[in-house]
Amino acid sequence: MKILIVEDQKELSDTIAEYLKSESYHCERAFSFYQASEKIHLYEYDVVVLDLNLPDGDGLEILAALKQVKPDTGIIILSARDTLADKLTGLNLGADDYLTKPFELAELNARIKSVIRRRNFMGENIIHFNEISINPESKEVKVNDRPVKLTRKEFELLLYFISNKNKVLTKNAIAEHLWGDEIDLWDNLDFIYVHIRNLRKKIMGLGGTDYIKTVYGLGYKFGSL
Amino acid sequence: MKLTSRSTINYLIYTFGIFLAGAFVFFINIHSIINQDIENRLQLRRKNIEILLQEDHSLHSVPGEIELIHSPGFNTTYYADTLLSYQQGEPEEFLALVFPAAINGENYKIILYNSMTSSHHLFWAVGILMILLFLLIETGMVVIHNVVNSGVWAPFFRNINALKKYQPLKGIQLKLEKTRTDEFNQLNDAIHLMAAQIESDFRKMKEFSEDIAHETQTPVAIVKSKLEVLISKGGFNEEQAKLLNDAYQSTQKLAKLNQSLLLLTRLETPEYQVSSPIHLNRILSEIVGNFEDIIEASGLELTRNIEDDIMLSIHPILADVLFTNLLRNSIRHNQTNGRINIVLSSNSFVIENTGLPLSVPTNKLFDRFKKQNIQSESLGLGLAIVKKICDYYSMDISYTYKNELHIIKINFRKN
Repeated sequence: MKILIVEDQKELSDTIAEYLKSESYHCERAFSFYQASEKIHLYEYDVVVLDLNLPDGDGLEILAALKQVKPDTGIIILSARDTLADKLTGLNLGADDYLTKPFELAELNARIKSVIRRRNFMGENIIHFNEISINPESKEVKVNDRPVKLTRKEFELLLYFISNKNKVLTKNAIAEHLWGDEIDLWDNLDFIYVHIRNLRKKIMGLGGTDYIKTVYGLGYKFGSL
Repeated sequence: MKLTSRSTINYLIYTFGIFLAGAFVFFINIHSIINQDIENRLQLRRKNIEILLQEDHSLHSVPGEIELIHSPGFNTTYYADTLLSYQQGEPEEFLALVFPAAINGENYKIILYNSMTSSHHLFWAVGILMILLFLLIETGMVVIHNVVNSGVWAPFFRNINALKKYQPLKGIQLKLEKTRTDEFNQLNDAIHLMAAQIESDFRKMKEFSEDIAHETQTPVAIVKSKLEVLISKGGFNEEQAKLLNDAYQSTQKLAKLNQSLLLLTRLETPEYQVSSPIHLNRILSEIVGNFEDIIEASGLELTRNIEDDIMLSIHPILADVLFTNLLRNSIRHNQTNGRINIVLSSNSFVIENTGLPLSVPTNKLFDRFKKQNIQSESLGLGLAIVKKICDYYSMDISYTYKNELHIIKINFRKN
């Protein structure tokens, strides 16, 4: 998968690329309106991560241009937290998703995967991880081919884990994914544990392996490594 | 005391004092002049009589009241006040000149009388006239003073009202009325200058804090994301994990602080001006739905009464922030097996929760960085933001603690 990261803050751009590297995406970067404009006209990308606050131009124009010349591209816009107008305009112009800064990298990763899935109409759109299969559209989850009933938050949690497999996820990132930005600072995020515990039980109840590993002091990791 | 009253009273005291002193001097003078005049006249008559006596004429043709009393040995001359009455009428006052004279070799006391009545009348007439004059002057002065001054001072008072309504924070220009009084115009100019200075300083300060918040946003975001990447790789021992987590938590806090401060400073910008109303009940229901499992996991009971179709002209993000902050607080400052109750109606939003009484004084509750529990991870900005949002939309927010319930109420329309 080819991803274009349009972000003028070089450090941030580096970090995003670093995080996505381990997902075996091919990442390219553009640091200005001009560079982004050039790249989208010359090359094809599966997903473009687009920061709207570019120093030399309006990111929304890149968005509009993309829709015109490369309409199959998935687009995720990044905007400052309180500019609702930009957000709405972006979505109305055809962006697939948006993220407000500051965001968790794991969240961006999950959204990218989601956009890729939605745009990939070839064949069945089912995610497989060993004995677990997830149908993101119908929200059906099967362990060893047997359906398991998950609550909405448990489903989101599982999807998030699998999207970021083999990466340590902080409790903050998980909480923000499940409850949104406003979850803010909580004295203890132990209520996350309730969902994790329930998810574990349900998967293992159908003979699945417990892939959720507690990483002491930091959070959780989902994976077989 | 009002300026006009003060100057009026000063004038009154001064003029009254002058009048009193003046009247006193005047009366004394008039009195002595009149007296002098009458005495002179009496002396003149006396002279006349003495001449007549010398020339050995009779006194029959002497005009005026005169009395001859045979008094051997009488040798003094003096004035006397006496009352005499005519056949009809009241006794009248007379001034008498008594002097000795020799008539045909015999000693006589001659008394010359002069009526004081007319001079008394004159005295009192002048006196009354003076008093009337004084009253006229005083009332005239008071009336004119007040009428003229109210005209002169009216624009001044209008300007005072304008000043009272002036709020530099709202960006409304201060417009003071130009008057016909130089001093007021001078004051206006000075005030305009000062207001311009205040607004400029305030703007600079706001820009400064916005700039700071913006500038710190990037390095904070970088640190946060670098840490995130590092953490995601895993493979740390316990010690490393703890160090990483501590650093990460602090950057999270820093990032949220930054964000919240940005929100606070930017609340006045046009970004948040909203012309169309939104469904407040939907936003609230959504947020409550989102927090339901946390509430349950915390062992709390939630009851709600959210009416339909509650429309309010408020920016959806701010409504989100408002409700989330309040709900979060009610979960955080609760007690085991406690409860939360939410009521949304067309006039107000009320959220109640069980919990221990506050350690923060109520009037400081909405200040920045005031925390119920110093140890807690919260920034202490939640309620400050809520209050700022309420102020922005002219909504009334109040807090009470009753029956062991924390109650926060927001009235959508300030009375």
